[in-house]
Amino acid sequence: MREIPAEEITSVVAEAIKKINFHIRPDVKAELQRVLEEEASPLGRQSLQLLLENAQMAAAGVLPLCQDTGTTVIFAEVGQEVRIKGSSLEEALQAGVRLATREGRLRHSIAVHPLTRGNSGDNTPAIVHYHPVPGKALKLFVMAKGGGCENASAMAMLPPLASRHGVGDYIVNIIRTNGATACPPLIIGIGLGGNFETAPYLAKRALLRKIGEPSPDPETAKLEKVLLRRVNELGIGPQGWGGTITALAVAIETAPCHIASLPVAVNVECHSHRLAEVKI
Amino acid sequence: MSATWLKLPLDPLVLRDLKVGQWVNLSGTLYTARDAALKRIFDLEADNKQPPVDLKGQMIYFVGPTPPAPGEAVGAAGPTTSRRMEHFIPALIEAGVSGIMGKGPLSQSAVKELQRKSAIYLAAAGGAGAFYGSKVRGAAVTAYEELGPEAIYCMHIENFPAVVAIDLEGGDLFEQGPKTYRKES
Repeated sequence: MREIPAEEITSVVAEAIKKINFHIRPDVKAELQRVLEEEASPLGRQSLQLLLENAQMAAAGVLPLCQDTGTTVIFAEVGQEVRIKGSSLEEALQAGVRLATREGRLRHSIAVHPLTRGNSGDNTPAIVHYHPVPGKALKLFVMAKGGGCENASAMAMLPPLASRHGVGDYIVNIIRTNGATACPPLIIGIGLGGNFETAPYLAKRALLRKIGEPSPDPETAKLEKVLLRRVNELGIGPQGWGGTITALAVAIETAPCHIASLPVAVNVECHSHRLAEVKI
Repeated sequence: MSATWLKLPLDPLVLRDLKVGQWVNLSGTLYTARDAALKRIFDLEADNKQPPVDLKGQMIYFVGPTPPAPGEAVGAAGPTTSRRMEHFIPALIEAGVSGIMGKGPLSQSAVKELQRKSAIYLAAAGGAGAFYGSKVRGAAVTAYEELGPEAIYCMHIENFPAVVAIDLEGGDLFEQGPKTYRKES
């Protein structure tokens, strides 16, 4: 067994959360620079330039990239030969969220109850997905997910033999209706298959992929490409002000499903795409 | 980009010259409000009680900033989604605001409400929290401090860029912009 002190996990998580809130990912920056060249709308290009200036200002470490510092979502790949010393893994992760919120002066964005709406005051609880894996390492994907783009997300149970085009219609319609509210240019995570709870989970997992990296499955990769083209043909553009770049990427994750079902989930991500991968 | 310089609170006479898609550069004072504060204000009104701020002639900015660093007025302060505030727009218009500012589209009924009382909608760039936070020179809580980021602040801003999204003629950037670039049949 390998022992990892809980404090080490807490500190690593806190640093990751602070980093993603102040420093734009290099692949996001490269994508924004790329589409700045491609975007046909002058207003769209001006807004993209403003985002690049925003990223430069945030990097000074005083003002976060976005005032919505998000819900912390963590995908934890936990080596089966790892033992956490000092507290549970869950407590260690939540303590990291608390620490980052204090040290990073992040906004308190979590209501403790969906109806009474009291604020937790420290951005806990983070939403954590645990995966046991072989080995002695602990790998964490740490995401700060904005409320505006999460609100633009949706899922449906489609008829099992819906055509690829029909599945695409559902996805494109969600973006047509909600895309402009979600801070485009977007990154669109799609979950296809599984069942009622796995499709949205797969959609979020799809956002962990490097931007623009196609699915290893050729059939899925083909659909990703078609969907990216169709979404950009909507004309929504950066900020929804009109333009040729509505999304930077579409990533699809699939899973086997019941013969009677074709679950589809669309998880919309804003251009800030605050995500870090850390390994302990 | 050439922008029209505007002083806040807005002079009603300048509003009619503003056209959809035009950049404006704002300086002066505005009030912030979002979900929780708007609900409180208009619950009070339903009970015939006075709201804590006179909104007449003011610009309302939909925002929930992050806490300030030492010595700063405010943290990141970019716009939040305006569509969530739709429900409160008729009451805001009735209270006499000169304009509202946020991100993303509004419904046709909101466009009509704004037009009815000659108010405008400005779109700020979503996700530019650090950029906009740097344009805020002063911020003081006016009401509902207990709501934290959702409190009503009086903000003093300088050189704050935004785009005219709904003008007095009912022109709507979120309708016209995408229509220009739409390719799907």
